[in-house]
Amino acid sequence: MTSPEELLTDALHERVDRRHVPSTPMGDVVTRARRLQRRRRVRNGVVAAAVVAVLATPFVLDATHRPGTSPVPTDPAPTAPSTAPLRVRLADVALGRPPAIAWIDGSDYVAADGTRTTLPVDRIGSATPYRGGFLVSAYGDYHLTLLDSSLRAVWRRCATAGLAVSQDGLRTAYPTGNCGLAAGTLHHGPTDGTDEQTARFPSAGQIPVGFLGETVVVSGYGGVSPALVDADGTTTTIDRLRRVSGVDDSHGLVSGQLASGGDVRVTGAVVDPRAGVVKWRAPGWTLRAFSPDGSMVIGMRLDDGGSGVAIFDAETGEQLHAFALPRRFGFTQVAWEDDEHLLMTTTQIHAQAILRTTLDGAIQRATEVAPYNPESQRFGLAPNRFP
Amino acid sequence: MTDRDADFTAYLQARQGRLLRTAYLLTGDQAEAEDLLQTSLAKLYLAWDRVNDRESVDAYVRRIMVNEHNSLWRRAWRRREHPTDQVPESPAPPPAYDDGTDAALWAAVQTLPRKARAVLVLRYYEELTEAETAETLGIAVGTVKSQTSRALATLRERVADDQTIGLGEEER
Repeated sequence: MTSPEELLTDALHERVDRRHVPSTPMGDVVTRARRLQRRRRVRNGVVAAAVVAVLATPFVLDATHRPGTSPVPTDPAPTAPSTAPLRVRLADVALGRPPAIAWIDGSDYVAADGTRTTLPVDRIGSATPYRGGFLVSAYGDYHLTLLDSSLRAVWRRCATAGLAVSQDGLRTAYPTGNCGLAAGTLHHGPTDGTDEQTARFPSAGQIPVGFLGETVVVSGYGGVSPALVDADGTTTTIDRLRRVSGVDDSHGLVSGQLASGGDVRVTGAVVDPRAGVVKWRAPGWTLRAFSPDGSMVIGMRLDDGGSGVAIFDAETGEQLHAFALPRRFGFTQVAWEDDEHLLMTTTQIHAQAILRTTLDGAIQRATEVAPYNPESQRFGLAPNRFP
Repeated sequence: MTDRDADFTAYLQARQGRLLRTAYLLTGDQAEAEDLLQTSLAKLYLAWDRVNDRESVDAYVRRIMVNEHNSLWRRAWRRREHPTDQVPESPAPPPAYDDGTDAALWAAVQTLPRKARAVLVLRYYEELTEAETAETLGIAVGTVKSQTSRALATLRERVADDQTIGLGEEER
């Protein structure tokens, strides 16, 4: 009997072996190489930071202007993030395309392809596809609800926040029973809900934040060290970090805040948690998510009334880009939309929206502006990037 | 033409066919595959002097291709805004003996997340070992094993139950 692997090999060969292969002229390769080289020179050039540019024209082909807006013209002079970012009204930022990753809009879960599913839960805090339905948490309600494929509630269990999905979308982890002082139960396994495993969290106050292979990375607050929880329940403390914010499965790294050792200053770090090695440090920066290809990591800090953003090389810690965001913009979530754009859930006094930025700090809105209520946010970024 | 360019051209002529086929399996689209290959070759050209071991050029290009494809995937929405007048590609003619298995498997492969798909293409088309696949993708061997296992399980589920393709548990 032919093995599955042999069948797959045959299928792949059958698909391409008789395919016509046009030749790639050397000249075309050299032309593209020169273009790449020019782009690299610009990227690696001396740019300490860029003043945030409110786009007068869309930087994507189909972005639309809101009628009656008066966008601020771009200031071409680069300045350091801590000096005079522009005062900008959220409503005046040009509107672009919706997010290209899964996101939350009120009670709607919006998949990356734009498909909307209205969930029977008010004030959704987070939601992710699971077992054919959804895992959903709500603001102010310390419970997690599992909905089936018909959006009927299967169970509702006490849980703080904390839904984590692997970078390839194939594995999901969630907590239950961690509402009190005791450590709760970590559930993890394939996103289709088959073969779900459970383990005790190493300490109280921890939630899952990501995956390294089948290992769940957990993190928490109150001085509890983050940890790795392997598929068999074995735990390994990541004692070099106080908190983990980002996980890069492709390189086996995590980002987060360095354990202080007496230093009160925030210091971001990228760590190899298995080897227990700090790869590099970023004093003064809070490190967040890795880019989808794992080559970059976001850093954020508060500067003089505004927020500074830096993009670091994930391997070396070299600062590749840095810019300031508009004053009085508050940010809760930040995620990579792709390797060239970030999405941030943004509030400004009584308004909220999801903002999109390039790596050089040019911004546009990815959603309309909605009234902001501190009790709940209309917009959120979903933990599962895939539809 | 310099010696360097002659050297690179020789490599291009010898290997571009195979590399384009790999690019097609990663992307599922001929135009995207050609674009991916050209960008990957351009990056290889820039790094040609640093690639000391000519035996490992293929591995180097594969690594570039997979990483570039990961970046291109995230920019796919931008490409949708550039309509083309080109006639869509004609698919390769189906083999006379195909009972639908190959087509079903290919359709299922195209639904996999890009990283899982890359693992399968490297393991089962390029026929790399687990260690070589791990090195190309910059991940641990254990991750290759688990991603392969999960991806095969996903293929098993997605291919129709009534096809006698040998992936079902009941046939063991």
